[in-house]
Amino acid sequence: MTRYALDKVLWNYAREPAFKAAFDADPAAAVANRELSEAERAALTARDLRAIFTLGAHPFLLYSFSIAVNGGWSMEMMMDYVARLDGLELGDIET
Amino acid sequence: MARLVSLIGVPHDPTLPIAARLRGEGKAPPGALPALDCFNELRGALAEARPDMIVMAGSDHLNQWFFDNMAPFMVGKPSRLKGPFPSEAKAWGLEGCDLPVHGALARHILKQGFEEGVDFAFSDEFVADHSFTIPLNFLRPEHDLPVVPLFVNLLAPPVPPGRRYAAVGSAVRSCIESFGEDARVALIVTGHMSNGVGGPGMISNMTEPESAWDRAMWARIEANDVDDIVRHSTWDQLYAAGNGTPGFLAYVLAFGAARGVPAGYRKLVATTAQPACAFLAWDETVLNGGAA
Repeated sequence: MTRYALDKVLWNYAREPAFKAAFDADPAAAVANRELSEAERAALTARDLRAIFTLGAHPFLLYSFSIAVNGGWSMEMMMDYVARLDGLELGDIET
Repeated sequence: MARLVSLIGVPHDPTLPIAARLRGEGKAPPGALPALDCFNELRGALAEARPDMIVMAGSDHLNQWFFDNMAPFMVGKPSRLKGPFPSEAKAWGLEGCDLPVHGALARHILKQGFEEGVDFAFSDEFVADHSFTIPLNFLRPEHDLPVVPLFVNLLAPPVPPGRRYAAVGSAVRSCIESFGEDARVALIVTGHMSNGVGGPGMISNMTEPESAWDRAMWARIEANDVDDIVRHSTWDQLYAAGNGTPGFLAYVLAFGAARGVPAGYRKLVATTAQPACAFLAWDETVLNGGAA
């Protein structure tokens, strides 16, 4: 299972400015050496929050990733985030 | 021997410090005011208890502890407790804290915990995330007391069932009460009622401030039916009520420490401003066999 690697990319992005800068410049290159499934790699590089969630990423990590993408929290950012997850059910998130 | 003189359970919603700042300008969301009032009341209750030190059980939102190395329960024993993390300060504009750690009590809890049946992990590089800094800054803004931080895993499954959190709470109390100094000790826990922070249900409180889960669990709390609280506190049951709801397990730890005595202070704040918040407190008399 590669969910741990998916979670770790989100975790690195929200906490490490150098990784964030590398990912922002070239997401595919930034995760090239990560052990991700093709679906996980595609979802991450597209910053497709809905797809990343559906793949079982930890919701708090996905939210932290999204806050970092936005450069900080705002009400507008949160409403946009929730809209992207509209209708999804909670699933298994164990790694 | 030391004495448990205050047991307090509070939320750590990072929008509450923002609301507290806005309140000074008359701009706080009205729905945040009851929670801020509860924090003010419990700050008073903690001061009245005249503690010499604080044991604080909080979590870590995958800031320091991650899936590469995740403990269910941990004693922090760095020389100072500092936080929150830069990413949290940036996201929420949070104030920091930098408090001395009571190393002797931390080591006693760790070693006596083994005797009491709890194999705590430990860390000498423990950093406080917002679940520690927000309650400590609200409840003891003087920053004048040494603390012992206890990490409890509230959000990275698998986690132990609720009965283990209750057992850890009871064991922590035993550890406090067998500490050899003549000290007055407060135990603060912080967790959640139902919430879906980061999940599709994140803003459900805006339309339904008090969920069916909140109503049912609060009724058990009002009835002080601790067995029923514990029975309904497994990861699967809590997660089904919102991906952040397993944060309730911190309150289960408090019920374990209270050993069946009902909380004298019980307030549920359910408004559209933030997910439902539980404020609970047991004072020295109630905790030590006196009348409520």
